[in-house]
Amino acid sequence: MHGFARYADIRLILSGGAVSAILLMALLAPWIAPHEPNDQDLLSILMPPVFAGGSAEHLLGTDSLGRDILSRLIHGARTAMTVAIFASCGAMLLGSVLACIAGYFGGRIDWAISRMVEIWLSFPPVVLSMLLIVGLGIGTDKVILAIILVDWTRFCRVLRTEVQVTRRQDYVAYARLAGFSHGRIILREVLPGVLPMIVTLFSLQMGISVVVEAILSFVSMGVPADVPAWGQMIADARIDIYSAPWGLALPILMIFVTVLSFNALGDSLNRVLDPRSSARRPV
Amino acid sequence: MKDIDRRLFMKLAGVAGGALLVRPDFALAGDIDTVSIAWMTDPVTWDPNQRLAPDPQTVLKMLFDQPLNQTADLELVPNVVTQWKLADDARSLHVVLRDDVTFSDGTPLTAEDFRFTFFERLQRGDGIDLIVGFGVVSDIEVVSPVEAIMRFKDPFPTAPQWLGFSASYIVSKAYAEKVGVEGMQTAPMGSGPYVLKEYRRDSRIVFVRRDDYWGDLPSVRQITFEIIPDPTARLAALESGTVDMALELSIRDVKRLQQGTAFNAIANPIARIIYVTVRADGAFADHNVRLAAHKAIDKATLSRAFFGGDAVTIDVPTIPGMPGNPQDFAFAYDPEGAVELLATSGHGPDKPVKLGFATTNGQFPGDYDLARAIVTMWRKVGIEASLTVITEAQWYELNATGKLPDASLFVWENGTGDPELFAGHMFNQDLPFSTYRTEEVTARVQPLFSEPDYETRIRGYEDLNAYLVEEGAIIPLLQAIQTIGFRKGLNFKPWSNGLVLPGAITPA
Amino acid sequence: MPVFAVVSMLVFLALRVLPVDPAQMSLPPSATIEQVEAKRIEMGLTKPVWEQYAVWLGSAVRGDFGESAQYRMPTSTLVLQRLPATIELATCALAFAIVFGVAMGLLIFAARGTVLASAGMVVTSVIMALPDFLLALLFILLLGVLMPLFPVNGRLAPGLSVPDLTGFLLVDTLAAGEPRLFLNALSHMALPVLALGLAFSPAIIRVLHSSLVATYQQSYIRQARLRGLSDRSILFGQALKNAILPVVVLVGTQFGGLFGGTLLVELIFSYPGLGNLMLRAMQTVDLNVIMAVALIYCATTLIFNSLADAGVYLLNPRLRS
Repeated sequence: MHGFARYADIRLILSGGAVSAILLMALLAPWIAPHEPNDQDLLSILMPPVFAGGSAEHLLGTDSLGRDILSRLIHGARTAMTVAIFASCGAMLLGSVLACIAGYFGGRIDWAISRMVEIWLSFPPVVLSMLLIVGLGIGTDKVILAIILVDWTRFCRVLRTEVQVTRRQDYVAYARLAGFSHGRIILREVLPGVLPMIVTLFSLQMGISVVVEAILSFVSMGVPADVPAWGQMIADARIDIYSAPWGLALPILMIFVTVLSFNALGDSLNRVLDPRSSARRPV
Repeated sequence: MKDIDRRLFMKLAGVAGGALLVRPDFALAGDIDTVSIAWMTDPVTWDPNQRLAPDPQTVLKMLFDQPLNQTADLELVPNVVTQWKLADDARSLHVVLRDDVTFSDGTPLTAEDFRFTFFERLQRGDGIDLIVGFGVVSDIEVVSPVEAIMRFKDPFPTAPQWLGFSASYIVSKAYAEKVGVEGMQTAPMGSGPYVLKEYRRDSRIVFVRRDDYWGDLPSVRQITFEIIPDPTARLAALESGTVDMALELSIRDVKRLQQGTAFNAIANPIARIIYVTVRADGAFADHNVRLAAHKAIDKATLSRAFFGGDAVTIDVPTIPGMPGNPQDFAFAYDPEGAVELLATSGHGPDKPVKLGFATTNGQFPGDYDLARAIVTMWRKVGIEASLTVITEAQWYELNATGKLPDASLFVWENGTGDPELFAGHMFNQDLPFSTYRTEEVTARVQPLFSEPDYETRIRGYEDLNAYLVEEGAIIPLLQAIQTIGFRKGLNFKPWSNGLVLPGAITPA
Repeated sequence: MPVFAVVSMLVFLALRVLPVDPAQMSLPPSATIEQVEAKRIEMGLTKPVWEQYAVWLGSAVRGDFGESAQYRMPTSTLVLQRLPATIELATCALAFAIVFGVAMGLLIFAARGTVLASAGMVVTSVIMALPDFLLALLFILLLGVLMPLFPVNGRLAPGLSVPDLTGFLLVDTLAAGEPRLFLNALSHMALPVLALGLAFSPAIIRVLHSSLVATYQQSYIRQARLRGLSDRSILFGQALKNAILPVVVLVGTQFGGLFGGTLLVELIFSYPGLGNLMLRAMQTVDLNVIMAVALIYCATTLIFNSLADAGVYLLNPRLRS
């Protein structure tokens, strides 16, 4: 058990470090990117990365418009993190609030919210998010909104059960007997009980949001054309897959590393925060 | 029994070497069993008169015959129609048809079918694009089974060109009446060199050669079109040997294929231009802004970056060598001049011109990249364009409802070899293509549509083209190129109208 | 069924709000303003939205989903042509995910405490961070471009053809009795199926593994051990039977993710199924097609949910008694 805990700590440190690095990169993008992400150099397009014979001017090469891939990756992180943070917070808030209401009050409200979740879940998430974008139009804010509107169910479904369990605990019953208001009980007594679960879900949702943003940008239904995004880089590079495979491989790598880090962080947090987790989520 | 006799007769005629039936001896010896082609789009409808869009024409021409054909450089030559004569006032066209053309159901093609296609179908309101060209037909008089006179409401000097252009395929009247409009869309029957053997929408089309075809038999017995919308996937299909030929590859891949030894690849300049449309109102109401937007674009760099330098830059809305191209006319790339012009109109770094710019993505190779490069070039002189991606269908809808952005990147195909279908159609305000509508443009364009004298008409178009560019009514960019990769062992002759003709594929 | 009605209403309303004119789009570009107006009346677009929905629903229950503006032909025909391809793809991917996921889950559990199990867990985490569309692109990059082992577009090599019996290519090629065709179809499916199936498998691995861990804490496993049963017979005889239940539930509830994934994977592999139809319809704002395909995605997901429920019921002795 001792060794296991240390393993979990190392994972927490590693994944936490990776997540911090990505967030820092996103935050400092304008200062650390060597070029403007949209600056075109039409006379040096599709240059290979420096380790594949390219020049030091463009460390990771250029794309089909002669834009610096490294700078676009860095700024892409900014886009991805902006979308992921706002979307995950939004989905978390919406999902948690509805879950608390449903789980705490039960009855008809619970029935209504549960049916709503059911309707939502009958849509494949990818299809639903694209449908929403068709309706909303493209734009960074629209992508965020679409993710919130799709993924709140993840929080709601899991937390509702947790809230129901917590509500039956003795301390909640005492609080009710003591005459505290519903809002106060939810905030003071119920919420702390489900907080570990929320934190874990949030971290996993960050990874999911990154993927959804990439998917939407990939099919040109995401952020506008002048906002650098990893999914867009993949879409742009696809046509030159034979002559410049790096342009495709690098953004894929970025998405992979980001999602891996957030998933690992979520798992580690879950293990550290939730005493029951060792039995439920051992992988 | 009759059919066999007929076929025998035709073979004899072929051997005898009748002037038009001559068939080179090696064609039979050098037959190719199958050729499969990686193709971009499904034809969507099999009614050959229904759509003017360029892509389906290659596919339709396998099944149907046009009254006139074009040579590789767009000269009109006889096909089903062997002789044609336009009246001096351009209000009628006398045509003589071959007497040996049969549809694939064995029935002969006659002047009644010709009348049905170019007149009765339009009268019936079949909802076909053929009406864009032939809406002016007031009647077709059938003189004999092989002779007809087309009559026009207004002078129609380009009637012969239209008879060899998109959507002008002769359909069988009897068959059309049997199967109805819907049947024509799903079950094609024509007089062309091939018949449809298999069709899976958006996936595959298989044609088999008709050995009783009246004209030169193509070398290929069976042609398969594999519908692969993605250019990378088309290239992969070629390189893996799953197809013999692939169209519209990225120019960089064409260069790579040319350097290798396993494949042939060509970049074929075609009668298609890439240009930026301009509206006469909004941000572009100012003449200086329109001209500045043109001066700011470095076309040579666009060609080098996205077409390997193979795409010819153009300054008027037509292609080099086509009638109507004004001689010695040029419009120089001049970013400083653009800045000055904008300054004259009170624009500067603090007060940039703001405009909307629409582009397609994947409609033709490099479109999205071109648009994004233009946005950057404009930004450098002080024009802030916000780019939106639309489809071709949306372009028409937006333009019809007056909601098209100030500028849009567009592509225009004119396989007729006549300037009318370039500047004429782009600026005729009665047609759904015009974006720049002013009284002066209309006054200059509309008379050209009914000018019967060829020389006068062509000179008129030369003047019009120069005027349009100086007016800033259009920003011509490049002559498009068609890219084709094919395996060794095949020969392919490209056509300027961009068609892949079955007869153009021969054994090496 | 009520869920389905609500869903169709929501989608319908959402799509009618869009700033596009279906009448304009269903006519050739040369149409005049009067023709568009006439078409608008003909299509019922001048009526209130709820009435339009009632009309749509009335025809939809009879299998008529209107005409596609882009293709100018009945939507139902279009959809039925492509549905088999997508179902075939999703089914094969699901089968692969279940077989691979269960095998990996068992392997990691059986090897618990060893390096092999840790390696298995790392692999699982890595796959988990690669969604289906990235796996698809990676496979094209690795096995299509750098080392061309598999075809990367379509369902069958050009020049080959199969009589169209069911639309399910694997079935049709087998029925045609030509192993060569069957293998060709299979090789075309390999990478799309691998991408979808692999992306879905980590969830199965994790759920099966934790459910096995939980099962082994039950008293009957300890008793079985005391009775001297071998590890193998306990795992396959007792534990797996119980531990598989959460996996069935998972497959039922998460199937939508895999089915939605076909959309992108079809795009990437130029696979002529519903996904490509949907993407094209979205680009051209072909409302009737978007509507019909969205409902099919929904219906399929719902059907799978019910199937999983039935599966749980059949597998769980406590529920049956």
